[in-house]
Amino acid sequence: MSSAEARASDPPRSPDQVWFFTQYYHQLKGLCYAPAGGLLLLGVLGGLLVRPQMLIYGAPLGAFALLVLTSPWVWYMHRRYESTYGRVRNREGPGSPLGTPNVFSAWTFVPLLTGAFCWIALITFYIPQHTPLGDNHFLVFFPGWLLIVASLPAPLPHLRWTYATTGALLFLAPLLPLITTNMVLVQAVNYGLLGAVLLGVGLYNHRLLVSTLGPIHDTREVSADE
Amino acid sequence: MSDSDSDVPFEHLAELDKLIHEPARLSILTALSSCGQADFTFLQRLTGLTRGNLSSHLSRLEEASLVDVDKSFEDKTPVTTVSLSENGRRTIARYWDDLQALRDEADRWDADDVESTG
Repeated sequence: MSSAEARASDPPRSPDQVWFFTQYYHQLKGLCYAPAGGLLLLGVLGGLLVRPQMLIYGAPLGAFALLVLTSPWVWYMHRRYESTYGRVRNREGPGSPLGTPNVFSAWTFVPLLTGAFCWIALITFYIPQHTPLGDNHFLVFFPGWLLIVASLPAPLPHLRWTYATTGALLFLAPLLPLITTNMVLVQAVNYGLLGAVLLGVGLYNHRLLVSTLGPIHDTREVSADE
Repeated sequence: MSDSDSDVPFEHLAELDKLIHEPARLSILTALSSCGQADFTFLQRLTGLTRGNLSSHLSRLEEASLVDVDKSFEDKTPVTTVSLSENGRRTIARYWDDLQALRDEADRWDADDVESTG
């Protein structure tokens, strides 16, 4: 029995899972960004071995350059995912999804937004003025923020914990200059962690997508249209 | 739904919209309610339905004006895109409200109610 036929006999998934996989479909395309994370991690480890001082100013530039350089790969994998699993276009304009767990209420978002604003103020104003490092680590912050937001409606406990833990790590790492003046260590931890999280979460998300929607090499259903 | 004390919550199950309550159609509508539009391949992968089953469910939903189905060609390949209609959005929102009301009633319901109804 082919994988497609096997899946056809699977029972329908819970509404929470259906909602989550549709809403976060694009973010779950883990192989789009996992290689960039791996290269970043290798770059940081290599930098530590060869010229540690270079990391202080080289790490943010290197991370940004990697994002740009890997964009063709991102585009290729995005197309590959869509040719296998189909296309989803997000809804335009405001409005909360229907029939979903009520995690995006004011009670959740107000503390989250307040925390994010305090955090941004801390790394934008306080840390650059009180430490010798000018880098405010926004590249580290945003993936952390996205992971924390995605952890709230995640339908499975292990998914929720994985996203929340990795998100919290990325959230806390930029605060390292508050407890150490070793800027090589700060940059190595921040960008090394960013690389490790992109790689780890990317592979994890890809595995999640494959275990839910079927293998990615199964392109028999590209023209599964009626 | 009425709120009478003598009512047993499970009686209201019969009042749920059966067109939506069917698990496969509920999956399709839930997926469509969380995005702008999705294509046939994605819905098939997500719901695990066979091509024929999904097509049949979509036809029923389209007949009830709950979804809009758009068929086109891209590079000579047929592409079917499905989105929730305004009516569909309202209907599934009402369905979730009804289901929530049912859950709230069931939470309030206790053994005393069984004796009073028995």
